[in-house]
Amino acid sequence: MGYALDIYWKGDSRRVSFQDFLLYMSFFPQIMAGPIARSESFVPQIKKKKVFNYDDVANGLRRILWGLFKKIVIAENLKQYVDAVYDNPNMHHGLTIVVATLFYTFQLYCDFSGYSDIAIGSARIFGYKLIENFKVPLLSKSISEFWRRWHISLSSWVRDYVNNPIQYRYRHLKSIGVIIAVFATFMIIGAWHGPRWNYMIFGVIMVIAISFELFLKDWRDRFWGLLPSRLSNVLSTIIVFLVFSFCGMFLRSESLSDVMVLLNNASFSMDRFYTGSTSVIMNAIVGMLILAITDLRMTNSQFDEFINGNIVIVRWAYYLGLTIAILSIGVLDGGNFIYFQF
Amino acid sequence: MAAISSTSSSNTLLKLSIKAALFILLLVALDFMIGTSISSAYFELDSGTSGATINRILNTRSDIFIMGASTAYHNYKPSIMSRILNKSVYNAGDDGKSIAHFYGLLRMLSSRHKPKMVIWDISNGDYLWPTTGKSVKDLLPYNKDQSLRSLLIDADKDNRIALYSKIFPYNGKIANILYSYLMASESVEDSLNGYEPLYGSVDFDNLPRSQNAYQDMIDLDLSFNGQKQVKVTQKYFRKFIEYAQQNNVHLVCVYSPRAPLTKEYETTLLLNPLLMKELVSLNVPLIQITADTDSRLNSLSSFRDLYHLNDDGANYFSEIVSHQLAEYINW
Repeated sequence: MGYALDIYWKGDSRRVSFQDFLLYMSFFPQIMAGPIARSESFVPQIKKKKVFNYDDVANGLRRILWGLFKKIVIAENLKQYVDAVYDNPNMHHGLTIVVATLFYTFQLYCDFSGYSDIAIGSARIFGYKLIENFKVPLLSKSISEFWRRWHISLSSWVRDYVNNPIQYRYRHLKSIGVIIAVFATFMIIGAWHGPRWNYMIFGVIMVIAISFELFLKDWRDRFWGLLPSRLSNVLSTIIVFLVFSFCGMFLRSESLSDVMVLLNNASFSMDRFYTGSTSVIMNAIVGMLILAITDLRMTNSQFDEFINGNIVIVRWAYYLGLTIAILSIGVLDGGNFIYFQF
Repeated sequence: MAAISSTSSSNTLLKLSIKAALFILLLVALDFMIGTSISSAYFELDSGTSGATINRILNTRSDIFIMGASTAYHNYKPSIMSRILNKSVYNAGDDGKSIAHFYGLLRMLSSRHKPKMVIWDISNGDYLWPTTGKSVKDLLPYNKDQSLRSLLIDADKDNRIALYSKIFPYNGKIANILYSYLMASESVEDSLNGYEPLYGSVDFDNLPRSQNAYQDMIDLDLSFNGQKQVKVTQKYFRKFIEYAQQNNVHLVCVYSPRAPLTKEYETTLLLNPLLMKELVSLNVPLIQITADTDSRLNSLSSFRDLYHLNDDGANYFSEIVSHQLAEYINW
């Protein structure tokens, strides 16, 4: 669709041969769940002569290893707890639901960003550079920033092909025009996830959150300015994390009625707390600690760039440590990637 | 220019190959060191949630072993059965285990101390459900035995490669093994001979879908029909029986009761006719005790959930099943 719109808006200069178009559409690392490659960046790479490049292969392998770690060690261990709660919403109460909801945010992030890392790494081995899909989104300080760091290839696609044209069309309405564009953007993001009311409501909550940030920007800046910057950064990151986790309930639940049951049963009560398998939780926590340490140090870079900035002992400790972690605490017979269903 | 590029490319390829070889070498060494350490800790254990209870089972010299998944684990009380049958009884059942697991266990057990009788708490899952890697995972540490190795590969093809690793057999259990090993002084005494009691009664408020549960189970049983891994289940179903018969281990199947549902949905989950036919053809005796055949079991107060008896229910069931089993004990 993006390619067709490019031709329509930007003219025949974007046209490519049928053979290149087929390769662009069916390029195996990204065909299942992105990152959504743009023809303008991908097609020129097809034409480039491919030779063995040590850096491409080494960086590609590093990204694949990091992606496998996130998927197999973190997402798959967390999945067991999250599924136990979300597949039986009537049977769980209190803090269990809160914990499962927070776990789901990490599971979703590790599952999807893990897939993206594997896709980007695989493409890199063959000499293709795909668009980055995640930039440590769970450390965002606002919802708007979150969407600049989460599923970047989709959010930038809808920004360029939906949000910007609508915003331009309704520019005379000023802020209202922006809200209309944001609303249309998130309805499309919601619908992209599937034909369910859950996903639409997920989109609506995002529109409300972004509108809130937009309209109350001055007020928010003044409020956060009252606090020491480090504290305001931590608090705003936590708030964004909690808002996204709440929205995650709509993504994970089977139906709206399940969401209502979960919201009704959720509280901070420890009564009848479901512990699940302690070893599974321990394994997931070990994985999340490694992720947190790495993500905090990576800030805006990617794993391959981050790892290249370390001395050889640290680099090799990472490679061996991640592989041993996959073998020892990873769930190797887990399920598909979550985003394959969308 | 092209020659320089080609040389540079082959140099970098060589560099990558050397690094890859070094990585594999280090990985194998680390895997060996960690795996061997975990392995020696594991074989010191005989309790905990790491699957090390198998070590206890293998070191137990009992006349009768109870085998089967969760319904075996929670429904049969060895102390009561032992008193009535006048034989030593050990409950080797475990949650979520397949018949392939018990075939492997019976083989290992027989090579050390052959039991005189195995009471197999049977369910439709033993014949109609696919065998998964997870259902035999606890046998992974014993993969040196060639017959177990092929069983593990039958259950999950990936094991063919994964078993080259020394760590992999302990995948997901390392924290438990280390915890149990370091807390060895607090080793659990197995006064219940493998039995795991459940307390409380069926709470229908927490099981809103229970009224359809048996139909769901019947649908589930049939839903796997034709899957390749169901054939693996049926292969080990037959091998288990044949192995017991060839080694003169008396094998008796028992179908333990499921909770009776409300009058409106009055039905008890029954064994699948195909499975029963197979048992008849292989000459394996079957005892069925259901809520319909025993009035005291026709009460929810004996059940912890739809499929498992609570401790009171297990006391009663162990007594009546022992009286029926007595006729098979002629040794």
